[in-house]
Amino acid sequence: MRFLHAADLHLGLRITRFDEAACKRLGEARFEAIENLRAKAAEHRVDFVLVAGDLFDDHTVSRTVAERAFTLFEGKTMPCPVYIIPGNHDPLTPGGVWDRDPWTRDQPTRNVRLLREAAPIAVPDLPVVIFPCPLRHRNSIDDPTAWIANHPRAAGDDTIRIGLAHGSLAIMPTLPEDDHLIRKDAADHYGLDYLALGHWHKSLRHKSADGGERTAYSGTHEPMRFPGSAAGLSTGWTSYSADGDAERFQDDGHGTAQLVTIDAAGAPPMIETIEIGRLRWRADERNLTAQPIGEIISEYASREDRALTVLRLKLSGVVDPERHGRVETDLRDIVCSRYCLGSQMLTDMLLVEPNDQQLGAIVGDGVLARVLGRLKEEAQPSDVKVKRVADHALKLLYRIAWEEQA
Amino acid sequence: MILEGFEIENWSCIKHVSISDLPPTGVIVLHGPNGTGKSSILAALRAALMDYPATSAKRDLKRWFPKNSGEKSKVSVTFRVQGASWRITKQFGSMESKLESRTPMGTWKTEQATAADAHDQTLALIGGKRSDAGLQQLLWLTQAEFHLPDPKAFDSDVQSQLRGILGILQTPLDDRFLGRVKTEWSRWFGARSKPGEKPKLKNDCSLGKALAALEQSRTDLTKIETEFRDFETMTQRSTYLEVLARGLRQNLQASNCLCNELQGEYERCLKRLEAHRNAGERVATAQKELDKALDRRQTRADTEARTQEAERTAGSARQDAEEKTRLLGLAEQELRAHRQELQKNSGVQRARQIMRDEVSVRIERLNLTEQVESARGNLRRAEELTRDLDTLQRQARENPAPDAGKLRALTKNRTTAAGLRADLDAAAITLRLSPDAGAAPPLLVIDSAAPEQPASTADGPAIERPIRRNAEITLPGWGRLELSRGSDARSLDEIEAELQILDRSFSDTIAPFGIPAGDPTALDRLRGLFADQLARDPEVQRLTEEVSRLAPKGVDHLRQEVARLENLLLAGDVAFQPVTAGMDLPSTAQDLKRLDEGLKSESDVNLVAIVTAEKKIEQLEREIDVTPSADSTRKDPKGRNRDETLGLRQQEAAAKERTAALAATSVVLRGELDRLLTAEQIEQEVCDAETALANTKDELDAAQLSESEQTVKDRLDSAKDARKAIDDQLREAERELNQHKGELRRSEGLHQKRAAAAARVEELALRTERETLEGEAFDRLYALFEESREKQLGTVMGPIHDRVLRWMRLLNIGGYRSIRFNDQFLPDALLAQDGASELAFGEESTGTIEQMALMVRLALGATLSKAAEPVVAMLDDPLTHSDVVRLHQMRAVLRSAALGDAVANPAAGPLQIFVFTCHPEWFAIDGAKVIDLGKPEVLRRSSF
Repeated sequence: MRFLHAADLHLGLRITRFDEAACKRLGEARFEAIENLRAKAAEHRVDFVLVAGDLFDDHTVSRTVAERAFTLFEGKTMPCPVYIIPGNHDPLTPGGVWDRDPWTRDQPTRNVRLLREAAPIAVPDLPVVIFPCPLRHRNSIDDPTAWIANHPRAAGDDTIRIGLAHGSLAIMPTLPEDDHLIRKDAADHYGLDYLALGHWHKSLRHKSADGGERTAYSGTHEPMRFPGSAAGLSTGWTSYSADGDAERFQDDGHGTAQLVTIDAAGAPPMIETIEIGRLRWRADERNLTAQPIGEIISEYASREDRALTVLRLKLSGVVDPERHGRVETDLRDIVCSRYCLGSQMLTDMLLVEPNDQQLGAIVGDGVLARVLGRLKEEAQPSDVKVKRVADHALKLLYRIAWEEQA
Repeated sequence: MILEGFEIENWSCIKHVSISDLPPTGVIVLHGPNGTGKSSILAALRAALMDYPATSAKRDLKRWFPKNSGEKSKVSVTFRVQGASWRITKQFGSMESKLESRTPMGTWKTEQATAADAHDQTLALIGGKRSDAGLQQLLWLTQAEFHLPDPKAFDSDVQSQLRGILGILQTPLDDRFLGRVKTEWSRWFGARSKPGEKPKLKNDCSLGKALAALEQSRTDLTKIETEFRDFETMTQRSTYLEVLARGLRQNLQASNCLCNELQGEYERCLKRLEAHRNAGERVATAQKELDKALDRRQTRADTEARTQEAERTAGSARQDAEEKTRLLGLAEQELRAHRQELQKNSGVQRARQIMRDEVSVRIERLNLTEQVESARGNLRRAEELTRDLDTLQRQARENPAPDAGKLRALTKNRTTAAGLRADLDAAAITLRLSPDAGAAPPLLVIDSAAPEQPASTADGPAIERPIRRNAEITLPGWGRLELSRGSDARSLDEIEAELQILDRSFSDTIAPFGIPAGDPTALDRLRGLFADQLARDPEVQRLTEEVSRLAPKGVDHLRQEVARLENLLLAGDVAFQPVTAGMDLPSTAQDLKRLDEGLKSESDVNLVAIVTAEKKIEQLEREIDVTPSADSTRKDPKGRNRDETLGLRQQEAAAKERTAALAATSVVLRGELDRLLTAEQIEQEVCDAETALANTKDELDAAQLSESEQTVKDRLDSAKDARKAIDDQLREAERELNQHKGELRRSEGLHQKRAAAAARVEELALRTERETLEGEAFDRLYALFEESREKQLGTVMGPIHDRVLRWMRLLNIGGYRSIRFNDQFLPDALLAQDGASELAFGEESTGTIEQMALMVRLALGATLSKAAEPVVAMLDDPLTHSDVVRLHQMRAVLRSAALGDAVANPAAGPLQIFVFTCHPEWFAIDGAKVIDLGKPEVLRRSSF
């Protein structure tokens, strides 16, 4: 028996840090990644797909998003049933997304199995029982898996027991107590062969007491941040968890799912993390002080999959006005037009300083030379605002003077 | 370049002028009256050196050619440049033109012989600029040119030369840079701000619009966020309600079961419950009967007590009424006695008042008699005084006298007249002729009078004639002798005229005093009149005051007053009718007053007795007959009973009324008592009721219920109430839940709206932040550029600035602290001593502008001048707007400018300054060469 475990699809993702076209492109990628999931399901001939919560970014997403997601799972190209539980971003609340068409259609539909109740459900034609733990609140101090204790494995029961839950696995003492904490030995305690978890956006496997890996987070199916920075800083997305900025909530720049194979009840599951994301997010930092600008331009112009890479290039160091001109024209053009929408080049930390030969030609020996001296004084660390304005004014001075003397 | 000399022929009004041996530096003043041809010389120099080749046919040149003459204009200028002497000669309107250089031998060698070549090389030698460009723009001035050149029109080559000497002010790169910065800056701002302040954004700039859009987007986002929070709250509430409804449904189900169980138990206990209820009702009925019997017993006892009390009160009231009747009799008796006493005292008082009235009349008559006598005396005295006064006033009218001022004026008049007369006499000349015997008589014409020929007699007295002005004496055989006073004659006329005025004034003034004009003692007589008046005036004053004292309102009024008093006295005698006939009353006023005081004293004592009796009567009447008002309360303010505030008569009546009322009440109560059951009957009823109650209680005890039977009904009702409450809660929860569900469905798509709004805000915030930084950076660049330029300017223009300011102080101009120059080395503004206020250069007075402009021109020109290569300044009729004081100081400035300043850094070179003027005295400068163009040997004018 084989299945795909995905979670945290966050369809209708809240993206605010890009222009409108980029926001649209990045949102669209999350649907395209579902196509990848569907292709992987077909490729690996899985028996079903589990979505462990947060299919939607919020329970107030638009009808279009809700219908499109339903259609993608319900469509003929999806080769198997899809079991879905509400997570903390899309909890099962009255009037919410689950309470609206098409998600209110009578079950079972063709593929979609929305699990509204915390009650065991048998997978047809398979010796598999799923223990779904749907969430009704954004935050709760209750363990969503606690109810499974009422259904211990009976003697002689050889069905494969799979838990499907959304919350934080209590593997560390510092987690927020209202973050749907799940006991860390839940799989062992409830006699589960596999506990499919959602909530944390980074793929993670947790070992049981016997060393077997029966608990896993799939990670988000499509990245939503530049590695190394919080999602909020990357996209404007915010978690409802009090611990939302923690690293475990952050993907590492690509989307993943778990491909799980369980031969029989009690047998250790074989878990393979597969990449299903549409876009890759990449954050580069380059110091240009001693690096030939031509090389960098060539490097970024020749990278693979540029159109599917969301790049944030942060430049620092000191360059002369001529190189700065090339950075601002050639390199910026490559980053902004050849990479995926939303790519950006940050030059706030890049300082412009002409060399000795250039300096005389740029500012001459008239008033500009005096202006340059004053600006350099103001750019010394003093008042932050004054320095910021002075730094920018210096760049403008070099740029305009360079252009005019040329 | 300097000029060594020039020769001009047939140019405008000039026929010929030739100037040579001009000093290489210093001031050269060429002066002559208007129309001499000064401006024409300058025009000729401009044309020959710079502006036109000889062949030029331009109208501006041709207007200088002589009118109505076929002669050609010819100008030759000798100048020195770069150490060599040159001579350019142009015959305008022809091809004749040549440029010559002076050889070391002193001869002239032709360098160019064609008009074009000669012109071009000459122009090249002196800088290649026309006379209104280059350095000439600064230093060759026409008559009306007293302003500085417009900065934009100021020759760029001159600026470049100045930069070369003074230093870099603003490079072309600076200019382009500033242009770019200004262009960028003006995208956001319209006007520069004060130092330390942010400039105001332009209304229509993109940043302003973006900030407004950001503000609007933030408002929209806040609204959406509020909506979102409301939905979140509603979501939580809905989830709670869902859980609550689920629990309530379970509770309702349990409650239904309990109600069904209790209903069965209740129905099983119904008969036992009915019997118990009937027994209970019977006990209640028996208890009611017993209560009624006990009430009747109490009613009878109460009625008996009230009857006894009423009868006792009626007896007491009767005794009180009898006491009131007795007190009323006593009071009425006392009142009668007091009334009799009052009547007696009132008669005595009336008799005394009649006597006092008569005494008073007698005193008044005596006083009136005395007043009449006094008034008569005053009248007599006043009449005497009035007569004396009239006499004195008549004397004054008949002998008018001048006042002191007039007398002083007349005295002065006479003193002045005497002085003038003495002067007149002293100035007179007496002609005395003593002819020799046999001499022919002289012919005399004195003071233009008719000729006179006095007979001469030998040994006779000399002929004497006073002479005022002149005399002509013709001596036969000798000739005519003329005597004349010259200018003194005029003084004598003036003295005579003045004397006549004084005499006329004197006679006019003394005429009113009856003194003839020619009376030599007139002044003494006037003084006598004045002395008489001085003696008479105090007596008149005294008599006037005395009459005023005796008759303040006039003698006639006093006379009327005497008549009025006499009439009053007479009328009193007729009306007086004595009522005290037979009584011996005193005859003097004093005795009568004493009698009146005695009568008053007795009358006052009697009056006290009358008042006391009246008060007592009033008091007694009030005690007897006081009737309280209808709305008076039961007790008066002092807390007394109503009876105590009534009169004795009313008290008696009230007591009688109360006695009658109490008797009637006793009768009514007695009748009521008789109508009630007897005491024995009532006691029997009570006994029967107590027996019945005991029997029914026994029956109730027999029907007593078990605890379960007692509570079943209550338990059933409680269970039904609880079920209803749960049902109500459930309905309410479901109603609210359904309502929320409906509301929450409206939240569909809110997430995207919220994200889009936040994205808009973030995008605008980022954009405005970026643009704000860009704008602030450009503003900072602009400000720093201006500040730096100012400092650069201070450094570069220092020498020029200091020299001009020194000259300005010499001229005492304005007291300015400094001058601000613009990028073109020309002054922009003048800064006051306080440094805070400034004046635009063009706002000074016309004269000051002319002076300062000339000083700036000279200072800038001197900067470009070298000791080895001085430059020429041509000033045509300069400083016409200056006052005399500043003109004097300007001479020093011109001399200083011409000398130059070799010590300064950079050095100020010497100048060859030509001043064309019609006021040579304005430019009387030490060491200046002065050429008088008005002399024909210097300049010959054309004859028209």
